[in-house]
Amino acid sequence: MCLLALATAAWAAGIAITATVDKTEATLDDYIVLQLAVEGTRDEPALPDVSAFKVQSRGTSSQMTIVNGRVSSKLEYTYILYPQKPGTFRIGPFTLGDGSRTVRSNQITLTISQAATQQQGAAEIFVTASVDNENPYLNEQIIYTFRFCRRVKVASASLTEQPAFDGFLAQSLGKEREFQKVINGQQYLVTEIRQALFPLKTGALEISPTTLQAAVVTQGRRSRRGNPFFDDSFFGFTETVPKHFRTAPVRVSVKPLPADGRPADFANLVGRFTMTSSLSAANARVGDSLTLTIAVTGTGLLKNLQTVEVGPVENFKVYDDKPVFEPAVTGGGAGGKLTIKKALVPLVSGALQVPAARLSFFDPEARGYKTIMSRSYVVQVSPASAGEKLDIVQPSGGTGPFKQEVKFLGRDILPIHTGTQALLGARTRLPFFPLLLFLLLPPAVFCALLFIKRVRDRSAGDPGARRQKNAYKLFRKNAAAVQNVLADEARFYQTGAKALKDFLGDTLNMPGQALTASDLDSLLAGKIPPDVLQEVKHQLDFFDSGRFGFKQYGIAERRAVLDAMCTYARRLNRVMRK
Amino acid sequence: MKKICSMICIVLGLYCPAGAQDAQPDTTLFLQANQAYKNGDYAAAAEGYEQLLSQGLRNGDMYYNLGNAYLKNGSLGRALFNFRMAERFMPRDADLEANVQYALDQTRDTIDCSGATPFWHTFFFWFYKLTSRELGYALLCCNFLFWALLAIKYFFRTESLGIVASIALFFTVFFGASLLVKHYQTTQVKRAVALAREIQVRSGSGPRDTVLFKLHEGAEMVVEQEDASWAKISLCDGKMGWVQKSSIGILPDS
Repeated sequence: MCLLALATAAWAAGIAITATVDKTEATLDDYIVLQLAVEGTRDEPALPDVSAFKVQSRGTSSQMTIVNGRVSSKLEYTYILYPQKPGTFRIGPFTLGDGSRTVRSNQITLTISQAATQQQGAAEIFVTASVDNENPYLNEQIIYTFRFCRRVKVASASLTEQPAFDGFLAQSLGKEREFQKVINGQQYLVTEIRQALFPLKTGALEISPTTLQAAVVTQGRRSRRGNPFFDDSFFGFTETVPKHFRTAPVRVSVKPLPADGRPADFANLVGRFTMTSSLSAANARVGDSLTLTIAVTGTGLLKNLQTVEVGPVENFKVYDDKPVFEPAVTGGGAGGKLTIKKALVPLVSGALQVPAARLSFFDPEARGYKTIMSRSYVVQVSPASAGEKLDIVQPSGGTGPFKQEVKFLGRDILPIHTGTQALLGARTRLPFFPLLLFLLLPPAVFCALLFIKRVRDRSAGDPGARRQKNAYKLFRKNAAAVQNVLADEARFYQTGAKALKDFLGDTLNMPGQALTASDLDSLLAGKIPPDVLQEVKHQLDFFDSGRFGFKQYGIAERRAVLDAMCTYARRLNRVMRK
Repeated sequence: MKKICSMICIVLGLYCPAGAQDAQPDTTLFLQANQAYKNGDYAAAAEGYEQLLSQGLRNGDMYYNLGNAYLKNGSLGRALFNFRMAERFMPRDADLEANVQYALDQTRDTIDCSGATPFWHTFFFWFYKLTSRELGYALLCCNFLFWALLAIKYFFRTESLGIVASIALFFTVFFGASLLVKHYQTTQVKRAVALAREIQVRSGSGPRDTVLFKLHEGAEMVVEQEDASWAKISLCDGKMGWVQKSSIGILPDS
């Protein structure tokens, strides 16, 4: 291998990149090894636009050298460049960012030529791609075959680029197969990969190339020719050379299906097919379920077929089952078997006919449309057993309304509110203090009522207490009457004595008219202040002496005693309440 | 007697709609905004409704109309913001519910809030379907009923009213608790809606902090903390971060 150092480096602050390739001229079958040597940093350089090549990284290697005590390190990045098109291309510079500065490598010019047009008979290894029909009809199946032929040892091989099959529906025809084949008098080992293609549009279509990379075993420098035992890499007498192979693009011209003779029920099915059918029973009762099985077998794009027309099925309710497709690969290509089942429920009794199923397709070999039919059946249907309720839905062709799910056809928001309520203000919550007031008001009212009731109950249950409570009130009333008769001496003494004694009787809860001064001593001594007791006794004596004629008092004296009686009654009431 | 009447009027004043005490609403502006909406001039319609709101005319219909105008005008975030405000006034409005769902369907972010939300909405429906005001009325009614029944039972010796009074007490406590929780939610939990087309949620309250994730217009969040220009937000799936306050709309304490 001739290692060409094409350019050197850009140095900046101890950082350098050097790009080298193993060759500057190659064909589309070759590949080029690109090495980027980076010194002074471990950053990977950025790759420039290399769209003319397919780039594959092959890892890195590092190298450290010490010269006169100075240590320097170098990192080598290795890439494999697979040419994608012929021409002259300049790659680089490869750049490395170092903060504000950018270090650039050298540029390399590569010249790529077409692959060598070597005769297949002379080549030791070659790849081919072909189709069995370059002028198919729309939807007609064609077979794409990729072959890898070699008559030398190959350590390993892999497809690095596979065609995209744009404009086709591709379907694999199984695993790769390997066989021996004599080509131009030479025996080759052939690996074959097949794909079924169904053109989806008419016109010129191109199948892009397939690329294969192989490690070809070659004789090493120490090889012992003539001894196959030692021709093994284990002993180091052979070495492997990576090679790169590419097929030529395959061009296909797709024809439209003829318009003449196209059946009305034709559903773009192209191929060759046969159809069989069976019915689960020939006799049934009304409401029983029968199964009509239709099987379509053949080569073509059968799995896209959803159903087969059976019609018109009268006096049966028909339920379609999901079709089952079993793919199969035959000598003719991809195909299989499609099984369609329909449940038939008789609605009336009698001899009911199940019509034949019908399938139309285009046969490319016959270059015309064909319609195949299964057999028809007659089912003897007897009435449902007595008492059995037939609960089945009438067919959609009946007289009842045809119901279906309501579906949205579009989405939008609902309109604005234009009513006058939009002009009224609103609050989202109640103010706190009024809320608290209204919350506490009912319990407060309840408590107040409860208190009043208890007081009233207490009063009603104790007459003495009630007398005591009302004593002073009554006294004031009586005192006012005494005041009125102040001028009438006889009535004054009588009324005054009554007022005083009633007050004392009510206060002490005892009969008041029988009270005497000595009674007061025994009842009130120690309970009221002595001066009050003494004064009350004096007033009592005053009224008694006046009433019974012992003494006569002037009007001034009578008024003074009345005032004193009122004053001391107030004091006595206060003391007794305490 | 006049004094008592005045007191009653003042207390009952709280039951009167706020608008009754506010200035007369600008009817012409409202009609113009409606007409602009019908004519497809959604920007003008939104401006009209905004003006009415700024005049103090706040109700669910006004927020709803404003949300509609923003949604039609392509401002998904502002639309959701106003729809959420409208929900506080009329949580049972079917039109509003439909438009909120429509707006939510337009949002770009998928935030997993599935948690217990359907459960809460089903079993605590009154909480979500009644406003704070309605909960307050329910509380006052139940409270009054309870004390009235208790008074009748106590003063008229009607023992059979005990069960009814107990039920009334249960509902009083029930609505009282609901009102407290709702009050807490509307005053203490600050909700927000993303208004900008895209929001960068950062690890801290600074423009140089790491961008944790991005939110898009209409995304809803809870504001945990805020300072002058940044707010710490959390999503219902637990993600947290800081966003610029100018890029979100925080729902005010109404």
